[in-house]
Amino acid sequence: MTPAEDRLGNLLVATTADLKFKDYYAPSNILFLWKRDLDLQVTPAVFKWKGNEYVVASSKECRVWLMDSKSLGGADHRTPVYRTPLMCNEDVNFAEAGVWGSMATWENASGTRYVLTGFWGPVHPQFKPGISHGAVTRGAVVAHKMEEKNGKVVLTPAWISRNMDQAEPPVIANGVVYAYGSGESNVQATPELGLGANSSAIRIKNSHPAVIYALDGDTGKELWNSGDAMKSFVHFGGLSVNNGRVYLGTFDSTIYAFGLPGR
Amino acid sequence: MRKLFVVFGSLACSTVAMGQMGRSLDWPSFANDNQRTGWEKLDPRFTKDTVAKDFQFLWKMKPSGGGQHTLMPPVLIGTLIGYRGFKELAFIGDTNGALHVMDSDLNRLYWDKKFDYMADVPKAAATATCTGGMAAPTLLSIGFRRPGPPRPAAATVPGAPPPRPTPNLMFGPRAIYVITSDGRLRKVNAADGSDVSAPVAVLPANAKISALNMNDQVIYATTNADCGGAANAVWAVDIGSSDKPAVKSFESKGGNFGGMGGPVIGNDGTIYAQGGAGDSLLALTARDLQLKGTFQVPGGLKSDVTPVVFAYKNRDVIVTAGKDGRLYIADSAAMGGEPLGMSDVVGGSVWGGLTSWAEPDGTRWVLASSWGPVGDTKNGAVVAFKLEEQGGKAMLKKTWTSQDLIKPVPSVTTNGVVFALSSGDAATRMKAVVYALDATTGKELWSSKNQMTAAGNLTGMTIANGRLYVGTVDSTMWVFGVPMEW
Repeated sequence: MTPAEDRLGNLLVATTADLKFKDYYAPSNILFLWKRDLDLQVTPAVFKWKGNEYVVASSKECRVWLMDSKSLGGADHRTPVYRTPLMCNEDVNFAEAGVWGSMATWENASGTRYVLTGFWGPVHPQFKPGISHGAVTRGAVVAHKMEEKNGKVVLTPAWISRNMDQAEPPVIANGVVYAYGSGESNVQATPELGLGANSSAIRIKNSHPAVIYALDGDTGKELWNSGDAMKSFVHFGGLSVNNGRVYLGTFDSTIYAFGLPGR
Repeated sequence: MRKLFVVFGSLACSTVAMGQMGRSLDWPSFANDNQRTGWEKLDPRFTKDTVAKDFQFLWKMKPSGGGQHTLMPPVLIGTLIGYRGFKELAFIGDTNGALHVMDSDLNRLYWDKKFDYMADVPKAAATATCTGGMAAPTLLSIGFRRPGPPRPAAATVPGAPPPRPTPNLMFGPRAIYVITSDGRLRKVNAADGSDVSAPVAVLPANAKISALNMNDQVIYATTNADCGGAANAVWAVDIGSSDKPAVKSFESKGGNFGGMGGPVIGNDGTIYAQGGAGDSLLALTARDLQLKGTFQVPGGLKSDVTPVVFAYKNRDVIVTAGKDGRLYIADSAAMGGEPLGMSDVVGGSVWGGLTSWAEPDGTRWVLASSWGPVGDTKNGAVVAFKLEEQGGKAMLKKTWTSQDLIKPVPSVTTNGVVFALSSGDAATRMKAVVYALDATTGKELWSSKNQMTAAGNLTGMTIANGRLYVGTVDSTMWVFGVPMEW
């Protein structure tokens, strides 16, 4: 009933370079997460900050765990360096809410370290970063800052982006955060059909074209968006950024590239 | 497209993971099963150690809108994979004709619904016996539909389109069945409270309806106390035959079938009801309620006790309570014969129903809740009997007696722990107390002490997934259990 080294599925696991088991982290409420299907299905990010190496991860529950890579959950494997409040998913939904995909992180020129998370669904009513950009009902990107408070390392909410239709993992280039709303219908159950609603035909029909956004990395302010340029949704795609261009593939097998002409 | 199916696969994998940790269990009807054992066989969350160390008050709920309405012990869906996520839902009916659905993990109201009174005859005024058309435990009776067996494949017709895939009923919408005081059967979508089909009249309006029981697409209930002018009877509502349920009844020609659990369904589908004109135990055929047999003892059986059924030596036996103060074992294969066995005198007066469970080695226990002096107790007690054989004859040997309990309702049990309720007494302001007892010794493991602030409402208890539910007369549902961080 409790996480143990012989039952590591749906936890965060660390291995050596030759894939020998090394460490694990199980959130203190892991039984609840398992019961409610709030998977830890988010690829963590690893970075150094003030001489230590940290790992950040999340789950469909919709909070961020900050861990010391030397001991992910401390002696009991249950205690991270810091655990944020819920950013979304007040309804405890397994399908169309929470964090999906991966984490992101970057450091600005003045040394401020940001941890970024895209999430699906409405923002949690108790989550109120200092900077916001309108009501969030379908998803958003959240930026936390690494800080020390009272001798402890914490993640402080810095900003939350504008509303995005199912916000996916962002990427960062030169102080600009690129993010997108996939537009995908992630409804897997309805009152009428139960899980029968989780069919490709229904989900494709109810999906909308994706939109890419460029955001100011320090404030989350929208700098640009792709409007109606893309004609289909994205199902677990991912952004690529290089040499002045942003790339994204959509469900209709089309790759879109946006950038600065002539550069 | 391929990746879409990958996503669907991830849900199935997580379901397997849930199974490894202990799948959340359903408690689909009064006393949990068709046999009315009050036994949850599989819940690993209750152990003697965890109950003794960790059991505590978790939450309570009182419906909004005021008024004093008796809350019935909830039926539970352990895991509803619904449009708002994976939920453990407790469905709580009340005597005001409403259904309140709680997210049990989070202590949040999930949905609630007040059912309109639809009968042509006016709604009856409340009396002490027929409170608003039904007695407290039975105004709103709730059943639960388990997924049925797979449908047989349709015959292949040349040129016909391929058959549609058979829906997986575990993953489809789930229904709660309710019969309201207007006699209407309601099939309600568990996810949001919407009507799955139009309400349909199946029982007389204003009748006093027992807890529902359900098997093989037939819902069973009893009506009692002549409420609403309805005959005291056993009812069978066949919901599988057509859009309009076929209704059959077996009238008692006199007395009540007054136990808390309503009709009992044997492992072979036989319907058992206790009471009627002869205060006997009746065996009826499934669906059409034809009399199969009658069990009787000198002095008669108690019409206010629901019997309990379990398998014993390759057939069902039925344990029930006689007016002479003993428990009797009836043989389903020879209802008209002599009892297979009996108990010592219980003491006091057995009330409501019986409970039964078995140890891993097969040792069978039967528990009786008795009102009045039992041994050294003043007000009542739970008395535990072990089924043994002496000289080739079965007997129920009195093994332990609980501490003094006021108006105990039928116990519920799981994993070596018995939960007993001292209901207290509203008239004398004695408050309810729940006790957790070692199922083999009766030793107290835990009690709610003075946490509950009113008397119990005599409707029974529900246990599942590490939680116990009990209602009090101030329209409050109390939930105790092993806490889970969320």
